[in-house]
Amino acid sequence: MNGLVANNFYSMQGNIKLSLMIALPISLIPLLLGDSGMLPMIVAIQTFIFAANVGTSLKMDESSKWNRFEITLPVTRNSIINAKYISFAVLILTGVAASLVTVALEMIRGELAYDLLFAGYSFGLQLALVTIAIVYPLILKVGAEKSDTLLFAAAGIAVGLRFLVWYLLRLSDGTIQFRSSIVDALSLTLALVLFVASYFASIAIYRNKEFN
Amino acid sequence: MTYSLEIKNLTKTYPDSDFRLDNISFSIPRGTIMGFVGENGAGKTSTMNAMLNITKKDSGNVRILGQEMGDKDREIREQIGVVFDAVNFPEMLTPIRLAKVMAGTYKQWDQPLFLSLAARFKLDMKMKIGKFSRGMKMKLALAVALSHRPKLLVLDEATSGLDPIVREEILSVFLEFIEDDSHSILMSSHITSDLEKIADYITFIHQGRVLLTESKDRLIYEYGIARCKTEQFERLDPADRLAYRKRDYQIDVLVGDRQAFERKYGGIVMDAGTIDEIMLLLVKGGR
Repeated sequence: MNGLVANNFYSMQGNIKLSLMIALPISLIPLLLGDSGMLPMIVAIQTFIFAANVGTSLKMDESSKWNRFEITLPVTRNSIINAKYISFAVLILTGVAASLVTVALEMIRGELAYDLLFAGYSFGLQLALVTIAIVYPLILKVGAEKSDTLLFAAAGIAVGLRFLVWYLLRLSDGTIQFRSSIVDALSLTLALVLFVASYFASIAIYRNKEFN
Repeated sequence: MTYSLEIKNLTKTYPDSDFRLDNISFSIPRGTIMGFVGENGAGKTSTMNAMLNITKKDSGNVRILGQEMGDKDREIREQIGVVFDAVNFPEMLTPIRLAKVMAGTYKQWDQPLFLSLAARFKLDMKMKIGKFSRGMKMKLALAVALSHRPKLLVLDEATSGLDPIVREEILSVFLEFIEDDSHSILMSSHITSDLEKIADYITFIHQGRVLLTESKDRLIYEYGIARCKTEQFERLDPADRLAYRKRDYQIDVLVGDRQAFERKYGGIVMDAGTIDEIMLLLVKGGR
């Protein structure tokens, strides 16, 4: 399975470099503006931007018909999905690692606001997890051709889910704000549940998938 | 006789298509090369897909090296090398990185063997696969297929679209591979001249059905094509003809034993057929 994970990263290497070229310079924005208000947005972008490369890797697999060849390798279909989800998790962690530069710079500035930081990570992780959770099983079903459209739609759904969580919470307590730690925490928990459910859905789809 | 591959009554239907694999059966004795011949869409790739679990068969048995191969049978897949008609490696990879991927996948991956094959094929190890010519891509695919020391090579149109020099080079590698008695090859190809050079057996497939499996030597040295006039054709016992095809001034008849046929029916011109001619008669001819 190590080989499959390595292949996933080799396929995305160009895009990962591009993501780094975006993620690292934007760390400087709060420092240059002297304002922590943008911290959640910066951290969220940095956390999500690497996960947005998922479509590229899947498109490459499909265009080269690697998917078909992969089945002939001494790996089970479950291992192929495991390798994908491990790669997705590592991508998300790479985003988190890139965002640590922003955290470090904020610490140097002496203005690290933990609530803003949590909001940023919660939103970024939620975006990344929900997007992958929706996009990957759908690509397995309909093909990678429309992966870009799916990616945008899934990111939209991720934001929509956050609003839904807020709306449901407001039904019991009208004082809860959209930007609050309870919305952050519940949205992130929901995203994690969706990510795990997506893994099992992908396993089920892939078990019966045929490559012609 | 032990077989590297035994396919029995393999059936596969496809949604939204009339095409089906219809009770495909053939076997490859260990230490031999089976040529798999048929026109485009005859079912060669479909058979290989079903055989390798790339698609799910409806019914039938496929035994590879004596065992049915399920999804979890990784040990059997360690023993199979596969080359498809198009190279299926991500184009962003270089051969060096592809080898790392394969080394992380095959327990039996033999890096020195891969490097020696790559050197023999003059592959640029640092060039992206997407920039390789078709010939180089096929050589790389073959190097990958051989570098985990498989016992069965499955080649789907592996020589198509290649110039005669590269084909010759690749065919010689197949012949070296088969020098080991425990090795076998299933090779589909449109280029029947390649199969005439290296195959031990030929299986003809048409519209998802196996028409004939025969040893190549029998096809070339014992089978024959009788060039009959109409009245000669009418005299023939239907049991003596395998297939026939009307042409402008003659009827070509495929026979299974040309010497016996000549003894029985004197005065009929008899030729040894090529694999191409035999395939044309089997596919286009009447029975």
